[in-house]
Amino acid sequence: MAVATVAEARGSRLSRGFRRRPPFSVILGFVFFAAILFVFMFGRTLAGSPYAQSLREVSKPPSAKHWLGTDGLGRDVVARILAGTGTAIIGPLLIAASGLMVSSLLGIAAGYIGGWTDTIIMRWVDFMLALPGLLVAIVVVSVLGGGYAMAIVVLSVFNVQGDIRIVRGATLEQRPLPYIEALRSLGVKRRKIMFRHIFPNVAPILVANFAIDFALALVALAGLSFLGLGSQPDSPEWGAMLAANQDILFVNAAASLAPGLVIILLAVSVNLVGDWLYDRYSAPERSGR
Amino acid sequence: MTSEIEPIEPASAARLAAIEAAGAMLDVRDLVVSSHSPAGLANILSGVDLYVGRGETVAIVGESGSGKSMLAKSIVGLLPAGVDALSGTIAFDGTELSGLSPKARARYRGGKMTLLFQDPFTSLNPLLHCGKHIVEGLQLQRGKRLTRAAGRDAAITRLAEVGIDDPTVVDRYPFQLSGGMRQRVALAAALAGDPELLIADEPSTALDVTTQAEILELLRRTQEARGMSLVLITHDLRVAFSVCDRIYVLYAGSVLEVGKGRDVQTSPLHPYTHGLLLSEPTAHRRQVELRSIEGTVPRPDSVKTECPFATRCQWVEPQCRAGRPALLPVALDRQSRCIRLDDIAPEMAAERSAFTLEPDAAPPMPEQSVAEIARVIDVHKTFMVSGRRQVRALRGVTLAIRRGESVGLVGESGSGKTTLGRCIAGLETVTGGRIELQDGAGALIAPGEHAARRLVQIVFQDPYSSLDPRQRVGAALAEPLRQMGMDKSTARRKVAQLLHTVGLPEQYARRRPDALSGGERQRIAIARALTVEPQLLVCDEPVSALDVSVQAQILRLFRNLRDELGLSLLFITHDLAVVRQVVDTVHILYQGEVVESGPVDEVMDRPQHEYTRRLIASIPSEEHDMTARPGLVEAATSVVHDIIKDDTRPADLEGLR
Repeated sequence: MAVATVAEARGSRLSRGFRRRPPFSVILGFVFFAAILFVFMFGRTLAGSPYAQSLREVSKPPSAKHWLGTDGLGRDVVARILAGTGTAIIGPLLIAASGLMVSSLLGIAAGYIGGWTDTIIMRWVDFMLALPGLLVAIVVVSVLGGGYAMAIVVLSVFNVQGDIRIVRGATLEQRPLPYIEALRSLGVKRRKIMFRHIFPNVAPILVANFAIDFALALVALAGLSFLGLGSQPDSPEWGAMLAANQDILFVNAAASLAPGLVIILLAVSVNLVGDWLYDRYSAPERSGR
Repeated sequence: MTSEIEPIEPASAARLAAIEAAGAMLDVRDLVVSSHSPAGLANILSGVDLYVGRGETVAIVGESGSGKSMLAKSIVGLLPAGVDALSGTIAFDGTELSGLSPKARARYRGGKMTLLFQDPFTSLNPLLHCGKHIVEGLQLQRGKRLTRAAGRDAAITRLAEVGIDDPTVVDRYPFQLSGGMRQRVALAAALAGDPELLIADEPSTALDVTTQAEILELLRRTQEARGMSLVLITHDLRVAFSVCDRIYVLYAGSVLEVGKGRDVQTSPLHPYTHGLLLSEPTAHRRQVELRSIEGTVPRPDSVKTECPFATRCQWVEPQCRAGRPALLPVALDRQSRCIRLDDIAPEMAAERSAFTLEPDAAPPMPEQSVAEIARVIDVHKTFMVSGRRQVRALRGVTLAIRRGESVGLVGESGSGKTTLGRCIAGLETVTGGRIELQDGAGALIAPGEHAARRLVQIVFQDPYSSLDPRQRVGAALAEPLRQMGMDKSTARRKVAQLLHTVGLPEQYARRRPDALSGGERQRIAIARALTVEPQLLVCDEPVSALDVSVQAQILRLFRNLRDELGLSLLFITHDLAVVRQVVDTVHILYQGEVVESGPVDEVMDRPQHEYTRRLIASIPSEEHDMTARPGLVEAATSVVHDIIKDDTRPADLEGLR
């Protein structure tokens, strides 16, 4: 088996070469994500104000002036989609970032320290996973109010548990490896082993989690807005647009379909890029036994 | 076991003549296999010829990276995605295979040609009964379903062929069997289609030494009984010599030498084969000097236009780099790719005879007066498996390690040798008895205590997972130094010094582990253990994951460390050749107990315990070894019988409960 280990390692170094150049779908995903990010940073008002109403141009189909037509109040759909990048990026970003931080902290601690630390963290995780997060969010936001910000808080709280489980699993995989044992026997401090050695080696999984969290949060937030629970009814938000413009579906289909399409494309793009990053940066396969 | 087992005997003249008359089974010509990468095509095999006669046994010998497994995979048509056979022909039984559709090629697999894999732990489906694996092969061959009863009967017959007489094995799951039994089942499954060609890819490497000998013997006998052709892929020249008629030596994607087993063994005609033979540590005597081939196997691509071995050859001349030499006939049934053969053949012969005539190194003299550094007193270790079942890894082990002494701990998997090493290194706690470490001042310290870290360090088997893949070498070595409070610049100087100690240039501090070869990684792992200046180094199979030509380099390093730093070594290994070369005192462990202890020469030359004799008999030995020690051949034979009877040893039986 010893020799196989060497041979396999060579083999994977070889096959890793293939993964280096991203497939076309990933490039597309990256371009789309980058475009949304660019708009978010510099171009939210590129197509004019998302609130400017024009009562003479209510529910117009796409034209040279309004590329995606106008909505029921005569507002330009393109302008509103561009402005919508704000809520579409900030919310999921906060949720995914909190997931990343909390899960790397608690997941590595649970996996590496074990014992009571592990038991307490994981039983809490089990408990939270048994609750339907989105449903809780609907209840909390509709009872307590708080809109978009409250939705972000509730979804963040319910998002981390899955990540913790995954990070703990990855940590358990690293823990018995000889390099960790060598560090232990050299007397390297536990904190250092956890954050200087295990963290970088589970980081690819964190990246993948981040992407999945982002996509799920995007859809969840859009869903809440669709139900009228997320952002202010008037504000340019893709989920809310999808809901509000249903009425004019047969007059200007683009007004509701375009935001829906953008949600889907962004979620898929982020997932594609995240998956590829995971493959690209995860360590080469190591020996099996 | 139906027939008597004959002592290992290389191909007789009559057998070879019969093979020659029978014609070709497999004829591979000029096979080029490449992998696709963004940078373009990278060669894995650059023009390989392979001829296997009907009823012939051929070995393909090579180190990791030589392309030997890819050769096997291209013959059966199972190349992984992204790897393609670009040119060349593969004629099997007169039919050209390379032009066939994947579907047509699939019909050959499992039927006329089959592959036996290295690892019986993963090559059998854990959800299927052993019998089912065999029945699948039988049905494939007949093209129709067998009734349940008929399939069962057939499977029992097939298992008997591979020496499993117990009919209940057909109803057992693979995990209920020992490694040797599993490999037998895998062989029976491979033979179910009555192949004319069996390709065995390192079939014995994953097994324990005593089991290895038995599986190789079984392969050899099956081949003879069935008259099929056998291609044995191995990294171990000794294995190749003991089983095969002819040998192909593969290196960096090229065949460097072809010849009959005995010829290659006695007079290699390529510097690489020559070097490999000399760098193989011998089990029967302690060598004064451990030789090795310096450097590592190059990528086939980087040596496309020169002699593949030029980078490591001691006889290299500019003409060797001028172009790729051809594989040419150099003697009767011999081919070599060395263009300087005529010039260097006498030199190689002289080196070899000097090697065989070389006096043995003086047997190490353990100094009785020297203080002990570690004492293991009646140590027990019991693991709880899945909460309830107890596994007793150590059952009352007592031994001592003196300062500056090199102690060997020998045993097979499950013997508890690794557990004991880990207990001494403080990575496990004992459940009974105690381990005392003694520092220079004579104070007693328990393993795991903070002070023990400065006393004992450990080096692991697998160099690929013993370094943090994301940390540069320099940082990995500096970390424990900084931990001890050393300032940055002192630590940097110390790192350079450590790299020098393990024989690597200073610049390696900037490298990442994945840019290092196995041997280099192991050197770094040793350097890291040395950072805290321990007095005892626990080495858990430190060379068994390395190529033969590199093994000797690392063994030499261990010898030097001991001689120059006065380090005590605890060598945990299954390899008796390694034991002979670097160990003074050896303890043989069997099922958690020490069954024999003593100076290495004493134990290996005059083994007292039955189990020690088995171990020594199972070394795939060179001929002169065998003849030098009458009685060993018989011992080997009786051992095979013995082991087959009690193959399911107590440790394995525990899995059945």
